[in-house]
Order: sequence, then structure tokens, then C-alpha cells
Amino acid sequence: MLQLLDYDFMRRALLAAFLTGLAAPSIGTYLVQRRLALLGDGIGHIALTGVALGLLTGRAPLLTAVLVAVVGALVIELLRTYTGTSGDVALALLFYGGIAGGVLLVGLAGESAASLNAYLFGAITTVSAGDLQIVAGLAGVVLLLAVGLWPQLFAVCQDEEHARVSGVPARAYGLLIAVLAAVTVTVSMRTVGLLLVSALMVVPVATAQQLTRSFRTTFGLAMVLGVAASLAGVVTSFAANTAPGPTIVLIALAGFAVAAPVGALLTRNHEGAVP
Amino acid sequence: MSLPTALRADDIDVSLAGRPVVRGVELTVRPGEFVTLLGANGSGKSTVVRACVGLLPCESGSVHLFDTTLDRYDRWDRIGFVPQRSGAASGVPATVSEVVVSGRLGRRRLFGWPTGSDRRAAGERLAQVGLADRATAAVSQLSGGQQQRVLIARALVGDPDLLVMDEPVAGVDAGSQAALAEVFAGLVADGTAVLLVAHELGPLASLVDRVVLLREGRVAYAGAPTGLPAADAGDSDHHPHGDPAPVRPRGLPSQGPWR
Repeated sequence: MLQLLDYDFMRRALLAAFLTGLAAPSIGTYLVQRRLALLGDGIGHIALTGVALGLLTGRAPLLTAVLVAVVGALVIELLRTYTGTSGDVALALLFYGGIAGGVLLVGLAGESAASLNAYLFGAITTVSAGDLQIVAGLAGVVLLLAVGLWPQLFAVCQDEEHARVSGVPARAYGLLIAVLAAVTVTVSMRTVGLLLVSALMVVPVATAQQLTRSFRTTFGLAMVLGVAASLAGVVTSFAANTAPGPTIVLIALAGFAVAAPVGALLTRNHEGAVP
Repeated sequence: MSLPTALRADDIDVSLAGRPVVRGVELTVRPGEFVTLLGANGSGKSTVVRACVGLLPCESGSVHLFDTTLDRYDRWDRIGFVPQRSGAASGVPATVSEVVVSGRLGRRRLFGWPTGSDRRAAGERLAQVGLADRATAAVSQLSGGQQQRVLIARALVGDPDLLVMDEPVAGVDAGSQAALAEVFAGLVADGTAVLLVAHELGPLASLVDRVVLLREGRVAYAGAPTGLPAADAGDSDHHPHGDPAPVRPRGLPSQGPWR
């Protein structure tokens, strides 16, 4: 098994998987706490327009995707806050606009929609050294803020009104979470792809909370599970010759399938012990 | 105005979705005073309170917190707030202690994680609301009344000088309400200003210095609970011993340091 470390592209793939597995659940925990689990998915669709814009203008798709995804995430958050548009409607608007814009721009670039496949489903083994630097930089920023600001982010996601009356600029933090989610989506784009990115943000959190009672444990365990699923997915896909992105997501889901009944048992025992 | 005020609303109008809900409301809470904002559902009492803590904009009139206008006010660590909520749970598990500790956020710097003294303060407040043994439980496992007490502990944990509570004892059992009344009485005696929103005077009646009754967004009565029109006093133990007099002279801080 260790021979896969002999390949440069595998070393880069494993490092990218590690960074994604760490960053995606860290911001995903706050999205789940705000009951915006599908936000990552919506941003993923928007990022597709960004990728197509990169292909059209001849710039690095990773960078145009970050920019467009951040703008899209800010638009969702502002729609939610200031027009009273419900979260799911705001998301639906993004889903359709993002896909339509992406396919349209790719057509204008003279490429077929098939060239979007690498971004839709990930292409972790084609990560270049330059890609890896961008991924590492962005993941580092996400982790620093998601971990360092957890008391503020926790308070805003737990009870936005109470946070505002505590003097926390809750709207600014809401925007920060949206921006960090957008950056994470782009970080994860090469690993699991834009269509599956939300899975890596949400599934490890859902698995962790089957077993935990506190926010901090959920947060930490979700990151551990995210890294485990990402690395195991890359290794499995190498050994079994399967597509890496879907392999990672299916392994993460298998983790949930194991944790859910265990969690149900734990809860029952706990309730039995403490009436 | 010579006496200091913790909260002062002057002639405020508030609209929700373009519909005027609150008109010309005056409200003052002084240090060491317990004021109850009474009214039926839809009378605008929650709207008044939300405007007073800056969650809703006033169309006209002004709000002062500790004699500073609301838009310039920045000492949020002096305010304890219990929002009207159905529960304390969210999409991710959180322990009772984690939720209560988040009430000290106003005292913490950016990138400052909770300290031992934050957790100790949370433990003390949880003991006061009778939940000391549930600190490590997930809030979602608690009953509605227990979650309500968690939110009260969160409001108290920052040692506020002004405590604003929107129907905080809804769903709280009678025994716990009595314990909370004792906690609130202690705070008021120490100079804390309390503004309570309720639809009836209920179990905290003996603490109330002054009542402001809202009807259709306007003040229908303001004064001692004794003068309250009988129909609005609620069903309650308002006259438990035939002596509804407030525990202290109304309108004046009882004593001591109100910071």
C-alpha cells in the first residue's frame, strides 16, 4: 500500500484530501447549526459559473471559482437577511442560476459541457503543485477562522438575536460564514467535485452528532471523520480503481450508517440512566 | 432627568412589515427596579422590548440604555437578554454549559476562548436556576421549561446591570418559578434593573414595582400593580395575602450600588 506514496500525484492527492477533509466539516458544523446544510451545495452550483468563467477568460478556474462563489454566497446571505427570502428559496435561485450560467459560459468558451466534469465530480489525481498551494492557503484561512472564532460563530449560529444583544455583529459573522463556506467549496472542488462538496461539509457533522452531546466534541470529531473519509477514499480509489470523489463520499456515508444505530443505542441508554 | 435610568424609551413608534404595531410608548426602568410589561397576545409588548434592545428599528422616538442613545451604545456586557423562544436547541448538539458560557461573549475579545472563570460563572448561575446537575447534558434533551431556565442562566452569567426577559417563565414549573423569583429578588436588591414581558403578573407578582400595560400598541396603564384594572391583572396569585403592595417603594432604587 505504501507504494502509492512513490507517485508525486498521489502524494499531492493525499495532501489535498487531508486539507479538504479538515476544512469542509469545520465550516460545515456552523452551516448545520444554522440549519443551512444545503448552502454548500448551492454555492457549489455557483462556483460552476466561476469555473466556466475561468475557462472562457483563460484564467485559473480555481481563482475565478473562489471569486464567483464568494459573491454568490454574499448574495444568498444578503437576500436572507434583508429581503426576508427564505433560506431554501434563496438557495434554489442560486442552484439554477449557477448551473445555467456555467453551461452557457462553457459553450461560449467553445468547449463542451463535458469539460466541466473534472470540476463537477472532482479530479484529485490531477492536482498540480500550484493547485495544492492555493488549496493549502485557502484551507489554512478557513481553519484559522473557523477554529479561532468558534465562541462568536457558535453564539451567532446558536441564537442570532441573543448574540446581537451581546454586542456581537451577527450579520457580519453571518457573512463571514457564507464567505468561508464559499472558499471551502472551492477548496473541495478538486477533491470531491462541486456536486458532492456539500456531502463532505455535512455528512461528517451528521455522523459526529450521532455520538456527541457537546458542540466542541461534534466540531472536533467531524474534522477527524472528514479527514478519515477523505484519506480512505483516495487510497481505496487507487486500489480499487474507482473515481475518488464518489468513493470519499460513499465512505463518509458508510460512517454515518454505522454511527446512527450506535447513537440511537447510546441515547436510549442515557435516557434510561437519567430519567 | 436627574435619576439615572437603565432603560428609557421616549415616545417610540415601531412598525412590522409596514404595519404600525407600537405607537407612542413611554417606558423607563431604573436601577434596582422591577418593571413588568403586560399585555395580551398581539398587544405589541415583545415588539417594544425588541426595539429597546436594538433588534428592531424605531420609526420615531428614542431609546436610551444607561443614558446613552441606542445607536451609540456599546456596553452590551451590561445587558442580559432572554429572547422569546420555543427552546434552546439548534442543529448541532450543544451542552447546557456551552450555551450558558456563550452569555459571557460580551466580555471576551476576538479569538479569546472561554476561560475557567467563564465556566465557573456558568456553574454558579446554573445552580441558581436549579440545573447544576445538568451542565454536561445536551440542551436538546431537556424539557421546554428546563431549556427556558438555561436561557435565563445565559442572561445572568455576564452579571448584567439590566436584565430584559421576554416571557421567560413560560413552561417553567411552579417550584422553579418560585426559585427564580428568589434569584430575581436578589438581583433587584443588588441594584439590577429588570424589565419583564409577561401576559399576566403571575408568580413573579410580588417582585413587581411597576406595571406598564399595553393595549393595541399603546400604553393603557402605567403605575403600581395595585392600580391595574382588575380585568388585566390576570388570573393569578396577584393578591396572595391580600396585600399586593410592592416590596419596596416604587420608582426608586431600593439601595446601594447600582454601578
